[in-house]
Amino acid sequence: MERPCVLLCTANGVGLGHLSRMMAVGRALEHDVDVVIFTLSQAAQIPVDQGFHTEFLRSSEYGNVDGTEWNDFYAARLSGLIDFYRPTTVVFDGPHPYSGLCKTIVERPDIHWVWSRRGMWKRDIGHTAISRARLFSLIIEPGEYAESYDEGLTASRRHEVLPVGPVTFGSRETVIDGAAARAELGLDPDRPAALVQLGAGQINDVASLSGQVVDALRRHDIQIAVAESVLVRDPVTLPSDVIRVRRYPLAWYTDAFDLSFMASGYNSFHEALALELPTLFIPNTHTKMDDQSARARFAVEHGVALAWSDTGGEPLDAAVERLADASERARLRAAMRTLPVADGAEGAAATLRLWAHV
Amino acid sequence: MTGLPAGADRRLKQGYRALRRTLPPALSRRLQRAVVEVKTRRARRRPIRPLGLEGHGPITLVDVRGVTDERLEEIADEIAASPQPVRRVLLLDRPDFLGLRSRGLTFEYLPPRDSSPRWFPDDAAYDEFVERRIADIRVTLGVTGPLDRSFVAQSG
Repeated sequence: MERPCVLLCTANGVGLGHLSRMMAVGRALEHDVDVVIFTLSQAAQIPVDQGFHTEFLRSSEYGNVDGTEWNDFYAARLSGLIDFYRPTTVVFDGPHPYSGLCKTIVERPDIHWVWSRRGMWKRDIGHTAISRARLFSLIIEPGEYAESYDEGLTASRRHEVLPVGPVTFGSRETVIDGAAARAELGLDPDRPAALVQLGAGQINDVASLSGQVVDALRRHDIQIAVAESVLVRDPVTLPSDVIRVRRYPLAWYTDAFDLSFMASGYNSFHEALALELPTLFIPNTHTKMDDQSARARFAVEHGVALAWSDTGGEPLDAAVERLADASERARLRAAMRTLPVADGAEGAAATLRLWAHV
Repeated sequence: MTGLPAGADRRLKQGYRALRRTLPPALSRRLQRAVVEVKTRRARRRPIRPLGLEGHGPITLVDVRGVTDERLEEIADEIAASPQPVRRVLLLDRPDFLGLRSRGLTFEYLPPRDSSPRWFPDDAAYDEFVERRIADIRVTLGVTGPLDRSFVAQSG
């Protein structure tokens, strides 16, 4: 008997969050369901490298075309993929269901349409997106540790979703042994190591966040590793005392590090906390929808991480100094152990599997 | 794909593939094109307006599948330096788009033959997929001319 197919569609996004979530769900599904990933992310190489059958379409952001026309383009391709792969279920992970997607949903009532809709939207943002919820057969909400801090539109719509745990591609089972990871990354096994994930491109600018964090870390006996996005084509030259880490998924290398500095986007935040990596979160306040400040607030108020923002409070080097303290990191780790397991991919897959066979 | 129950559809597909393997190559090719055309027409559920790529004149589809990394860089440079590069759509079978994007080029990705035994169990299945996708790209991008295979030919 032919195995059923589930088509996992992702938006482009600023980082790799959509793709990571869909790969996590795809991995949990693939032993008895055929998975096809359809992405708009220029990082399509990643699911290919992870063994997923992957389809790609240029997103409107860099397709040299007008947005309205692009929606027709998207609808035509999605329709073509459905005709070829014949999925029983199509999942869309993104904050805003495109009008091209909505057209296709209306035209294909024979398919189960699922919206993987992360919460934590900025307040009063996303009215058009939320109005499209009614088109979907099901909305799955990837879990959010900071759920109680969510003031966005989805917070009052929890009655319409199937909640699952946090969905992360990196899990405790996939993390590489610390010593092996350090050897692979070229880190000294005996000195503490910090991972700075704030944009390698700005590292040489001392006024930039990355530059300031690296500068503050140099005052401690800590090795500095800077994460460079796999989406960067031309790597920057790094200072001689800084190690470049260009890996995906970076979460697999978590145990190589004692502390980290990163923005509080969904993926980084949940992977760091679920994998117990002591972190100073520096929220990116320039995102369109994602309320990273709320996540950072939750982390501080629940004692599971530190946070810093440039709003005139504690100086950055003082925050770095706190995280450089081993006893503070031990305290954070103990607090992180009380958080629920990030098992949302399995939860989402269990439902999708049932539907895939219908 | 045909609107028939899954079992009947599968048997029809198997018969079609067997026929293609036994027919003389030229005839097999004509049969494949005809089937793809019918399938594409049937799949179309609403009129599609071609994407308005900037500039004027014909839009061409340039096949660069199978070329080496170095050769792809050379081709990308050559196309980027040509008039209206956006209207020359590169057809790739590798998912490495960073260089093309940084040059502002237009491109389309086709999963390669070896990407999935489930979807592409044999060459005939893959050829059919490619024909069909190219037919779709022609409609959605407004490509009218033949597939430009000159770069692949130069690469041997």
